[in-house]
Amino acid sequence: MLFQERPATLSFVQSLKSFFWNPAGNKYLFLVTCCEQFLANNSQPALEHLTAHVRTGVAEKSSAAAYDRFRFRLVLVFREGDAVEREEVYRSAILRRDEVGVS
Amino acid sequence: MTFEMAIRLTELLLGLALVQQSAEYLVLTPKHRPIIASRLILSGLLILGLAPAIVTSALVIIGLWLLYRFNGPYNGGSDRMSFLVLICLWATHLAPAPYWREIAFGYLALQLVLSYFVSGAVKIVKRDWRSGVALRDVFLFSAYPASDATRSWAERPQLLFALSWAVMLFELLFPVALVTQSSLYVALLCALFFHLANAYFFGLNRFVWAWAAAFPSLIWLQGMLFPV
Repeated sequence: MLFQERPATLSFVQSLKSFFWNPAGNKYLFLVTCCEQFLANNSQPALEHLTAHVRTGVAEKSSAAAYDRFRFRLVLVFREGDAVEREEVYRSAILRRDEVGVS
Repeated sequence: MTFEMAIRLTELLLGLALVQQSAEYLVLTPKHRPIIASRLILSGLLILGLAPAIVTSALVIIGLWLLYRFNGPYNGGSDRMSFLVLICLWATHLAPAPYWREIAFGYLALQLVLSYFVSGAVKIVKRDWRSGVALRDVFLFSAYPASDATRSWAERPQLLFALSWAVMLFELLFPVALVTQSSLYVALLCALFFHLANAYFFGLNRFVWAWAAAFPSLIWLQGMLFPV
């Protein structure tokens, strides 16, 4: 999950809470939809949403100047017979952290 | 269940679904707070059943704006279903004659049945679903925000094989449940359990609210098609 550790376990109470309140999980699903739209239709609005999310994540998680620029990639995981394959389907240009985009 | 009671129950359940979605949007899209706050208030009015024709009209406009804003449904299937329920409810309130009101509401029930049946038909023709591999891959690789503990279920192939067939048979046989009121209630309980399990394991909470909002339409339609 982008910029968010996957929890090892979820207690019943946490699951119950997420039934009513799960903005992070639902945003993640939105980003998955954006990936699908981008890969299926080369949707530029979808790519802008993805880029904005990564940019926000980079800005929040790194204060070092070393992270002034970034790039990201999309990797497709799929099954080919019994084997699981991974294919890089998109690699972004080098982007600036402080550019303003959609959110 | 009478037509009016089914409509009222749909308003209530859809209102709750939209309140839940809108509360999350308030956090996710702070720069659109005025519109989302309006949606939240309108959803509250829908729960209370106040001026439903006006309220649903306004909610449809905001729904269209959300589709534009997020380049489609924000949350995939669950938002599609929420919007379908809203559109059918809106059409039910605006329809000029009782016949057309029932057509609009019956269309929602039909779509609910198809949502399960088509989903089951798509799965059963795929070898990976029949063998349980597809469900194993859902637990292993899917993009759903699941915990590591949930993903470890992928190591139980026999259980996942049984679950795959349980899901496919439930979805394919769902239309048969319309024959009697009792069988429909059992099927809807199974459906609710199915959506709750998806929410528990994969965090798909919005699906529970959205699909539950369509249940009253089917209970009403079943009574129309097979009166006691």
